[in-house]
Amino acid sequence: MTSSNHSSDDSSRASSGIDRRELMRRAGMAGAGAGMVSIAGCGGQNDDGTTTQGTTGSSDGSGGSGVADDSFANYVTANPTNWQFNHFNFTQPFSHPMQTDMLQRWVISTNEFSDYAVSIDEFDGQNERAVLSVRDGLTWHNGDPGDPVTGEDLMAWFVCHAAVNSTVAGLYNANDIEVTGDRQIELPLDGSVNESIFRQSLNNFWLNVPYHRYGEYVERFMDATSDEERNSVRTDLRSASFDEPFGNGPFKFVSRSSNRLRMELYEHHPDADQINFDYWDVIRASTDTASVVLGMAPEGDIDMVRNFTPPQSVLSQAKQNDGILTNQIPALWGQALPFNCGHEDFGNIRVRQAIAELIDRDLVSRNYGEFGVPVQAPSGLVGNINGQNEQTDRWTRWVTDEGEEQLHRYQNPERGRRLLREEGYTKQGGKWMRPDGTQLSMPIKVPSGYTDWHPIYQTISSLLTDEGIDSEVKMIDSTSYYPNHYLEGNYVTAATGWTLGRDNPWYTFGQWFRPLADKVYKMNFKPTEVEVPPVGEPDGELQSVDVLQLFQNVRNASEENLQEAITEFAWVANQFIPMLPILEINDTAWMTSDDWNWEPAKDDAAWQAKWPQWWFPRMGLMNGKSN
Amino acid sequence: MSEANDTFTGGSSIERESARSQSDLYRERLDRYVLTPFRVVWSDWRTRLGTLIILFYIFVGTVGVRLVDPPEVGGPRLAGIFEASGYPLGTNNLGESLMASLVHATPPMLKMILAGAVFATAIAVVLGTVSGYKGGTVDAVISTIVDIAMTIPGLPLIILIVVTFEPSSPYLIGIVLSINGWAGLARNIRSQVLELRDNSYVEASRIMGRSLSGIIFDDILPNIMPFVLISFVNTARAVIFGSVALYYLGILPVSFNNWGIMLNRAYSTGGAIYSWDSVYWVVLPMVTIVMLSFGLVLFSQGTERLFNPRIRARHAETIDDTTPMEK
Repeated sequence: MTSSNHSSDDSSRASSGIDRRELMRRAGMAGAGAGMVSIAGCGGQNDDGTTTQGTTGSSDGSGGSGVADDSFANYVTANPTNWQFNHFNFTQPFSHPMQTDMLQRWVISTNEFSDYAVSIDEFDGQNERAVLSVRDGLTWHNGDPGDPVTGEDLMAWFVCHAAVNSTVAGLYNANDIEVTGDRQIELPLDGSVNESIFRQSLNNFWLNVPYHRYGEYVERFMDATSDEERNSVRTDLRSASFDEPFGNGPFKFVSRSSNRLRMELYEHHPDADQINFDYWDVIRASTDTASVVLGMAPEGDIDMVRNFTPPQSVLSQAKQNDGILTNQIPALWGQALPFNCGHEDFGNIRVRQAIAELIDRDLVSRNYGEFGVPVQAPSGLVGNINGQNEQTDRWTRWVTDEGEEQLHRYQNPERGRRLLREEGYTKQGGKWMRPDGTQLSMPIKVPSGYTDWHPIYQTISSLLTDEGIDSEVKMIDSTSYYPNHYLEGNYVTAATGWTLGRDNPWYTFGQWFRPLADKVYKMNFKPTEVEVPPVGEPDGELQSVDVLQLFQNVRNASEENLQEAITEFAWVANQFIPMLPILEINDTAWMTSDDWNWEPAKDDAAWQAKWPQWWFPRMGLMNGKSN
Repeated sequence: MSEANDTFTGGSSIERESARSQSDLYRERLDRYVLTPFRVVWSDWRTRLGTLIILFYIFVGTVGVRLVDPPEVGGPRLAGIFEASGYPLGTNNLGESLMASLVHATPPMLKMILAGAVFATAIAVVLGTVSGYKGGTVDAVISTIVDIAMTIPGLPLIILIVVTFEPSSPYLIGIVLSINGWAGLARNIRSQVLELRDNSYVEASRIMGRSLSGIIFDDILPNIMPFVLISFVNTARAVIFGSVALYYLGILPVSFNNWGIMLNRAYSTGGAIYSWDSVYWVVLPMVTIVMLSFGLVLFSQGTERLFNPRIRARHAETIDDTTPMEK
């Protein structure tokens, strides 16, 4: 599947109650995300595309600029003529990472942030202010060169994200933003904010809100005096449809047909001289991504598939093709088993814990394939996998040593059985019976189109069936899965990701516990009613916890106190498990190397910033081979 | 048939009945209703082979499931045929034995096929024969019902029913899948019966005052039975393929093993069409489906002889060509 962070933010949306990944799906987006940053774990239907026509520059297949191929092409499945250019509108949006610039670059393996389109000049979380600037030399694609990107554009970015209720918007006061220079703004924070949370909040975003296009919404939002007016701005911004593209990145829109969208090199971009080819194409090709991947080299038109998790046989075939490169990047994402906490059985924390004990995550991970590893301590802490598909302990850096040890691992089926018995369930004739004499049943709803998810939930279902719990995988049409099932809380257990593509636990805790209209809307429980055992005593008596206070503690923590605040919340997440994180996975990027040089060695940290295909051309680390 | 033939017997049947022992009667019935059809079936290689194939599937679905344990996750992943001990037909990506999956998919598939095909065929035969034979108002009413049923688009109706009621019983799923399959068949049967009802021997039965059911069962049905059986097989195959399609779309609940699901998983999660390494995973269920379909077709092709009175008489030991059969 495709995803985008281009326009929307990664975390739960207080307003709409929908996180970015889900919104994408809810909107049925499988296509326009050609250039959008991926959300991990969507192999099977990711980048999109199709191909029916050649795209190389000249008729002899060579480029006109001395390179073997003067156009680099990425893959989509949607029809480019259907796209519109307002990325806040989830109906067929198009916005490409080569057309606009990312705010910052983050190398996952080293946790290094570097400013790109925007720099954080000053950050004072305790005094609630930050100063940010636009990169010098950045211009819009509305002239030769176009207008400079200004502080006003940056202000528009923050205001529009407040208007649509992005998670990042919870960290600042949009109405008090000051444009303090041609390229600079002062951003008033909404209470004290931890710097690493703020930094993380800018990940996976592009500087793609030009004031000349979005000014109307900015002004209306700033002038709004009631929630009704603000909601009206949000509705209009979400439904606006732009026919004309815009951008400030190294490639500028030229034309589109039903099979191809073409962008050409924009020579006024600060990094344009790093690039030695003329065009970047977005090519529509078959929805059968596996066949597209296998056909990329040596003759194919497609040069990259941003993210595709292949079946084993496809991977084996691809490895035999010297012209195809792959690299893995931690998705900061993984599949989970969310419970309906309003359910008679699974609303019981002990039953959820029992299920967690009975599911062999190692086996599930094995059946998923080589791009996933089991979550070691189900608690919302991201960082179980590295770019080499190996298990790592990166997740432990978020918590204290003691806190890490205390987190329960859920690897003891006997404890699971004991917990069930203590809650009144009995095992008769190999079947777990509920107190009322019927068999304990745990159907799992799964989107039918996300085929790389299927082995995970099939394995879980099979394990629980063997244990005596009536469990079946219920395939739901992918287009209706999120809007009609998961987001409606219409399930017993379901399938989704347990993170939102960021590794700071604050975001994960938000996904698991942030209330909307007094309950966590997807999992049907009230945060005010969360009860967990005392720290370090999984079998201890349940005690109430103030989840909202835990949120505040994490958000307001200084860097020194952050670990402790997270440790406290991680224990609650680990015990309450509204959703059980099963795996953490890698995203797999696919590129051709027959006409292209990809310079860094495969173990270089440069490969671990999302996405290498977007960054390398800008950094001079990828170029076309000469004729 | 016997009643029809009574007319031509010399002497009363009561006299002959009393002259025969009870065991002779049972022997005759066994011969007529069991052994004779079997001999007819066995005399034709197509029917013989088809019968053997169907019997094999029934054996697998009844005895096989007791001999082979249900598939369990955790075995070696993606082992090929005869690659891993204990997994003669290999395993899938979950480490489940494909042989166990094939075997344990057989009973629900047979139930689905049987329920669907019997449901559609029975309704079609009843309505088609009555409509074609009776004519008049009865024909007009039934034809109207059939016409209405034929105009309802099948797939959307099936999807609607499945989504609304979420049937999990294989019998119910089979019926739902063939819920629209009877109308066309009923119309075809009606056409054939219209032709048959004017034949001289049917005319004769009518003149002799035979009952409607007697005429239909003895004079009409044997003539349309081969066609009915072919249609039965086609409906059965439609149930198989329909279930595959709906499972693929994620519309049917996956509550039991299913060859269609196996195919789908082989393609979607196994990449079985991209590599010879895992092609076995897609070929095995395909062969299983094709073989059952083939067996059904062969069986139905030879059934014309089964319903031909002359051939039956030739293979019956208790009937000679001039002696009418007894009831």
